Amino acid sequence: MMLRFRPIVNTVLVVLFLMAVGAIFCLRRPAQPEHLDAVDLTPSPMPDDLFVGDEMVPPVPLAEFDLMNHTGERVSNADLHSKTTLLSFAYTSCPDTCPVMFGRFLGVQEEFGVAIGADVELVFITVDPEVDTPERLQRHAEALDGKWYFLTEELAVMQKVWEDFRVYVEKEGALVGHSNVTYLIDDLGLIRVRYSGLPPTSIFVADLQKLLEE
Amino acid sequence: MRKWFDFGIPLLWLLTACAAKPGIGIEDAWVRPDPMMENAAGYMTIHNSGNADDALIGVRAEFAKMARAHETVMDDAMHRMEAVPRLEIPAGETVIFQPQSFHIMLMGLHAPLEYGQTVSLTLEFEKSGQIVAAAEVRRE
Repeated sequence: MMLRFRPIVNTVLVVLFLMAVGAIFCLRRPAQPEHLDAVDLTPSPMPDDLFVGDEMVPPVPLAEFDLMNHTGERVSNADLHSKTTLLSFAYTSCPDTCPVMFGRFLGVQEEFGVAIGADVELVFITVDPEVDTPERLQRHAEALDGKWYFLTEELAVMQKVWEDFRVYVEKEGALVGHSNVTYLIDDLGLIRVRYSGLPPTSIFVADLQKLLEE
Repeated sequence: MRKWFDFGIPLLWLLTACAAKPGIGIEDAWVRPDPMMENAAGYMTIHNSGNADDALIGVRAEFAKMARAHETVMDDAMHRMEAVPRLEIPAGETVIFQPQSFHIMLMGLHAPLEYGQTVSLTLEFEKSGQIVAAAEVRRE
């Protein structure tokens, strides 16, 4: 009698065992990813005589340039003398990285308020002069309320400027690959600090303040 | 033969129940247009909580002429964008689309977007098929 039910008992036992194993295997879900904690990019306290960015030792004189501003006026390196300047490279139709840098400069603009245009100057130089005409740069500055110079010129002129600032530019269709470098220039026209990539606003603000207090 | 029946049927049932499949989920999708509302970039977090790999093989957005997955590659401070025609989303892993990394390139907006509005991004996965993500238009 018992032998007659043995296959059924076996089946039930196997099913129960495998269900237990299966439940552990199938219902095991990979751990839900933890949301990335906000990375604290606030610069660590630095000794008074050090910049957070890469200090140029010795400082390098700003290369000569004479370009067209978004308002149609000429702007040269001489116009930046007696001001502390943050200068970077970007283009207006850039969808991913440049908007981050525009945001960083807007943060600096907000931090320094009325000093912008007086003691502190913010400058962008385009890496896409064939698209970035002064009119287009003007619309861009108005859309962002950016109180900066956004400079352009003919391609041949720009190529010389990029070379002088060690900026590599590769245009591929509507997109432009380019070095993301920013320079902090003192009121004597000397490049004092170089930044690679997209440092947070707080680093620019800290170094600008340090340079202004010299 | 009887033993095969006794043990085989439950095993087959179990294997069928456990068939490997991906489990794609999309969170925190958002879009940042450029200030002149010509192009935009889309960002999101893609989880694969299943037990099989999947891959993102296409993107579509009704509000832009062209949508494509890209990656910003940084090479000695040089930023360039490269198309990513197929992006593996391994089982149990998460791929984050964020500025300076993977992003959805949205070129040629048909009309200006408004900050705060929600737009749809249709993501095509190799195994999971199409998944529509609701993306908020943000300034940053």
